[in-house]
Amino acid sequence: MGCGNSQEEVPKASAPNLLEKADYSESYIRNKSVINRKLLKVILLGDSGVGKSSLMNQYVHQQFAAEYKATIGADFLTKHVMIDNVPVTMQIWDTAGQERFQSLGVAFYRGADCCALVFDINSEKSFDSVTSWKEAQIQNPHDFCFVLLGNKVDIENQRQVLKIQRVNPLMMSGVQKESSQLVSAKNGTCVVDAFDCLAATTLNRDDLVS
Amino acid sequence: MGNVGSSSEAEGIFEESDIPESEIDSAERLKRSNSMTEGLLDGKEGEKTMTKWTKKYYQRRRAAKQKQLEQEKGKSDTGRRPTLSIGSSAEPVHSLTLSEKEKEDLKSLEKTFQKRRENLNEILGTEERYVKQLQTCAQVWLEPLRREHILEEQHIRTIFSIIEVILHLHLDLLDQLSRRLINVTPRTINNKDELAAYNVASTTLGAEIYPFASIADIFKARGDFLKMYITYVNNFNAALTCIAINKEKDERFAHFLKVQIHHPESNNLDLLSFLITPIQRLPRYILLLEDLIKNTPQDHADYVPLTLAVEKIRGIADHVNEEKRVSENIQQIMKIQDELAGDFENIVEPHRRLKRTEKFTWLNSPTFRSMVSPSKSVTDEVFDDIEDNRLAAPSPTRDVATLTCWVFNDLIILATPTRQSWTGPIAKRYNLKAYSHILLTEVRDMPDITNQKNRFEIVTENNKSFVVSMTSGDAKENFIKDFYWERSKANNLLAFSAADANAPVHELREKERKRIESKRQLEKQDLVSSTISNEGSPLITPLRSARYSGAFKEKDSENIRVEPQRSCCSIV
Repeated sequence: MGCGNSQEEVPKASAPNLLEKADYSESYIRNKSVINRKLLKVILLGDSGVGKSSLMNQYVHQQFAAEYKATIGADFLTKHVMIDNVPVTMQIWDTAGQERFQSLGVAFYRGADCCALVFDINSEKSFDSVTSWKEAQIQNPHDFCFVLLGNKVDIENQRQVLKIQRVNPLMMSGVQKESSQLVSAKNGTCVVDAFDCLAATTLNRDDLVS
Repeated sequence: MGNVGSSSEAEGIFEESDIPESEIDSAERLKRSNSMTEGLLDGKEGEKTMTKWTKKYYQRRRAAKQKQLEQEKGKSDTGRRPTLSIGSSAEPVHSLTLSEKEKEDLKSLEKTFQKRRENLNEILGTEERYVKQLQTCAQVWLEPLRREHILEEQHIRTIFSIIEVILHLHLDLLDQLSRRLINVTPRTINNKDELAAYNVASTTLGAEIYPFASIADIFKARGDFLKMYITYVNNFNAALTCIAINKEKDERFAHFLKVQIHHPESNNLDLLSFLITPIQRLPRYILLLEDLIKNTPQDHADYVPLTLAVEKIRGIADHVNEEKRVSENIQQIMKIQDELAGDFENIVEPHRRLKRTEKFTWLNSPTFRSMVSPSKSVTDEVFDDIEDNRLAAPSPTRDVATLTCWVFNDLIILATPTRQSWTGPIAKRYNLKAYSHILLTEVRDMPDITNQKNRFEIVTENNKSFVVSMTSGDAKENFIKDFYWERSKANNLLAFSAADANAPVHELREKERKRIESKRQLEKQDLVSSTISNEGSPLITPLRSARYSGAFKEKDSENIRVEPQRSCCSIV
């Protein structure tokens, strides 16, 4: 798995043209540049209430809904970005609502390239859960690229988990330290940075693996 | 804004929440929702109507309170619970005079209902999207596969499971919801044009959702049907495997998977993304309904039914989750059974659960010791090495010192990895070293010595001793703690009577030993007799057939289970 999704190719001419008659043949493939894009599937994991959906929304739509916040919002959002001059489609999947249901989650994480572990910097508990999120939910942690995102950095005064650096020793192996950041879904601090960095790290890692 | 203002119409709207669904005449309901949507088509007028409705609701609430007060004073008719329908003879809306505080209350009530409308809008909107996704899955992925005979029907069924049944359930749910909330029914959709028209209609009307509507009964009535998600969820791993295998061997299928991603309806999503949607959807009803409850006043007729509906769905989601966990655990046990070589009985049992898998360094292994000190004296240990003789002699570089340990709720199995060169129908990756009932097994801590740290001893039911070490002191303590936790639970299950509970441990052990021995004796006879009876198909021995027998009912022992290492993940 891993980079499997990102390697879409235009079907070769030599491939059996059995589907030509049906209307789902190559005629749908209108835009080659879309097809050659790399697709990165990112999943957001973390305790309920840490702001997974909001982060996703902030990154893709540059919005933060303070007035009426949708309960679940979209299942996933996509954004086209350029990472090191490579066109990449980021597909970010939200796991809101699945926090309680571990076994359901396991199925969900297959096929993802990267996993962003989100915690609330004002809640020690949400940080402590990060380890168990990583271990309990992912069966083959080596297939994944992990980054850590500390959300709600806009709320300064009641900060419990002070700095990622402080808690670094606690961090488990396999998390990409350099792309772990403190972000704020509310005012957008570092959100774009964090996701771009995450995409770059995942791509580099995939390149190394393959 | 039509005739909504006329009091008889407005009365009707308000009573909807008080009358059970079945008692409302469908024509009447249609009229109501017509008048409702008409009244709301213009945004500004809609706001006014909203305010008026809220006022009316508030008025009823006040009247109900007054009635209650009167009742309490007079202490007459104490059995009746005051509901909003009591104050049906309320005065006209405009003549309502309010104090400052009441005006504030009214304002917050209006805000609540505005939020409630958003909640309902989201429930309907996400349901629509979900149904759309399921439909796309059926039309873009399932049907062409079937029509063009790309895959065998059996494989199609493995991949898509009951997704069509789920689609029909949700079409019905969506139908009911839209009837209740807006007057558009997706049932009339026969072709693409109608679907497009419906999509337009539903999005323009989406904002005109009736904010007071009751929907709990719709979810409650369909609650039990949601249980079919168990089938879907449990099949999911098989579906993934089936896709992977077919993709590998069938070029046509692989091509199909690639091409369909770019189907206009697919929205650049692969098959897997469509198959995962049902798994995502179920837990989300809980979130959606919980938020709806937050914006439903406690005196609203739907308040209590909604809480009940959420409980029901939560129960089902928990059940689905639990079933999935159990089925995964059993699959793990089946895998161990397949990969383990040696003389042992069937390890797949309905009640058995794998609790822990651990890898140790085996310090008193014959080979390991001979590596440390090549003197011959150590090989005359109690071990009877059951490794197959066909295998090559151990080379000095071989990592024989690893001992894999599986702790089950009633059993402990120790095994060593096999050498690579095994050939057979199923790759045997482990050689059995010990098979021991958990109550007859002891784990003893041992002090560190110079070159052996974090070591402890496992004594099995045949008094074989395995001295092993782990990488850290914490890991060792954790393992020993967990082992005794499992053992104490097994012991509690064993202590049938009060007398048993107080009996000394060795008596219990003796009792258990006898029980196990007699059981094994029975099973041996069983094995012999059934191999004879199954002569035609020698593959189906009880070892195999046990997998399919029994529906893994042992729930009680599961529920007691507290898993310390996972507890922080289950956030409520």
